[in-house]
Amino acid sequence: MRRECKIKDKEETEGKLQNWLLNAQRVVVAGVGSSLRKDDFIGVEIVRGLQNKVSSSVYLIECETVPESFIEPIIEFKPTHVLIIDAALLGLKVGAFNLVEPEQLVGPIVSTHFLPLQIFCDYIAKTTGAKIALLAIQPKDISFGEGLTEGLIKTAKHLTDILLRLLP
Amino acid sequence: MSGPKTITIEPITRLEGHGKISIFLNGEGNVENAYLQVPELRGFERFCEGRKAEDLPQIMPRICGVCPVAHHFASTKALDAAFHVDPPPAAKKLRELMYSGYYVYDHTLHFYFLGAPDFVVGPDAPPAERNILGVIKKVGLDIAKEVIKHRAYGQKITAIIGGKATHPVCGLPGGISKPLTEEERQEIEKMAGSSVEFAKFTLKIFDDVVLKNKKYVDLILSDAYTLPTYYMGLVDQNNKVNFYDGKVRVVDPEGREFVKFVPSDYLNVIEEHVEDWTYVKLPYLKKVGWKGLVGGPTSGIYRVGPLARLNASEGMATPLAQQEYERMYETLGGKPVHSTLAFHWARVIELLYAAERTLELSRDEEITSKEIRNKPDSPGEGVGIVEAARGTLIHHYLLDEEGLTKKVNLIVATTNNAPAICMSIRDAAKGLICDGVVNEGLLNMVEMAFRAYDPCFACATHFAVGQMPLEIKIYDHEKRLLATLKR
Repeated sequence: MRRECKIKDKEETEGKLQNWLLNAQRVVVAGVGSSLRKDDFIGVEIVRGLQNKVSSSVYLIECETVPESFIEPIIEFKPTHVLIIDAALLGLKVGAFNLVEPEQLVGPIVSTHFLPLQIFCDYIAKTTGAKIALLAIQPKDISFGEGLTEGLIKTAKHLTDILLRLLP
Repeated sequence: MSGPKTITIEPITRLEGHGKISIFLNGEGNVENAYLQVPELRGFERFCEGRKAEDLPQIMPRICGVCPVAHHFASTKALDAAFHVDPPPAAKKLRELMYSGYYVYDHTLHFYFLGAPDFVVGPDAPPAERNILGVIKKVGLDIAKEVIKHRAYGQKITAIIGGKATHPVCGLPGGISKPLTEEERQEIEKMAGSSVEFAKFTLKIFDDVVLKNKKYVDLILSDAYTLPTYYMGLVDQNNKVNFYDGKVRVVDPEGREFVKFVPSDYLNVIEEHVEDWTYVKLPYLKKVGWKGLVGGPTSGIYRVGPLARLNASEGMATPLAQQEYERMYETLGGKPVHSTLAFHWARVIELLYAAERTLELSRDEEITSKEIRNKPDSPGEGVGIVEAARGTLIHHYLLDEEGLTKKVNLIVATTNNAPAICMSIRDAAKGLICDGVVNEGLLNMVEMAFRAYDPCFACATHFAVGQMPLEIKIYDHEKRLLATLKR
């Protein structure tokens, strides 16, 4: 299923992200994706790009395909916000991205980690009371293999720069 | 005496899964034959086809909620092999640490909740008392609290390393998802130390309640519960029991090494026989052959699980467990021991080993290393073998060039024991039921013959082939059978 929505441009998404992170005090940034599936790994690559560049109010996690493995550390961090970054089949041009609330995961957006991610988000929201959002990025190629495609490398860099400006 | 008669035990109790025992008496009231039937059907080997390989370690634990850790790591190891990647030492140690924690809670569960009621309360005590509540009444609430506490410790260790207490998620091809912090290490070390003391205490209970009771020792050594077979288990390079890694060693009914093989060779050693009266497959040793449900050196039937592991090995790798291993064999007349009820004793010895190994690994200087992942290579075919609490567990995957699953074959612990369980039930029934005398206590003693194996029928019936046979019976509101539809 594909999402039919109008994502106007990257500035709009950046605006949404800025609003969402307003008053954020403790933020978990969790990158989700398989290292064996090319662009699927973009979430983790963005988190790697943030390593050693963020304050102690930000907890970076490279979840790979097992976000549930980090439930306890996330809860212990007592976040106010949890941002999950993942490749998702948005039906948009390659490299486009959007900020999605967990409730919107029911329906058209097809994440490569769709069902488990929704349950994961729900559980984290209930146990921590944090605001949860998914930064979903349209991949070009999620077939077997290593490394991001060229367009996604640029998207990863762009989003890393945005987050470095917006994170507390 | 009247004509032939059938006695049915349904449902069978104090095990994981569902099953039914049918005992056929002849005209004289003696047991002619007995069958264990397992009606569950799951389908994992079929519905995993086409899925991404890296999803399998998360799907496979859903085979069972009792031994999910075993399936998780058998699957992860199969992917290590399929992607031609050897995890770094710290990753292997973390996996084994979590694995030892799983044994602490799983073996504790079986001994206190499933097996012990028959001995602590008595095999022919009223059924309403022959359970964990009856055990608590006899041993006291303080001991019950210790049981619950140490089961929780084992599950906490799984949650810390594996992400969740049940259905862990940490295994990745080539390693594990996250390192252990020093704080977590200390927490695990404390729980492990307490678990060693608890395991020693559990062995004392077994000693006081079972071994000092001549009636129970005679039962353990009786013909009704004795079955000479081959035995299989994972061993390390010194032929000592290892739950997580090593080679698979098989000994014959005399205790001599029959074969020792690496995981990828399992199909040269094991074959599976099918009977039309049960959904469980019946594995046997290929070189010896399938001779029916008979024991002895000319029958390819083998056993797995605690007693089999101890029989197939040359000792335990930790000092306290090794002492108990030596004591068991000295008491029961040497190796190998063929007494099915001795599985309970072997199980508590393994509980002690698991606790000691958890403590040992928690103190290993590499256990908090951050080097926990090596990069997988291109996908192919791989076999992963671990020792589930119930016995040898094999996951075999064939992947395509996209890393999608083409074929899955699983031989799970209880499946390995299926032929032996059938025979143990039959032999116990024949030994205990005579001249048509049947009562609830005797039927429970027939159930004790399978209970010692700690069977998991959800695991054993994981597969589906062809079209699932189906029978639907339609009853009216007064429970009169109106129609039967069959496929």
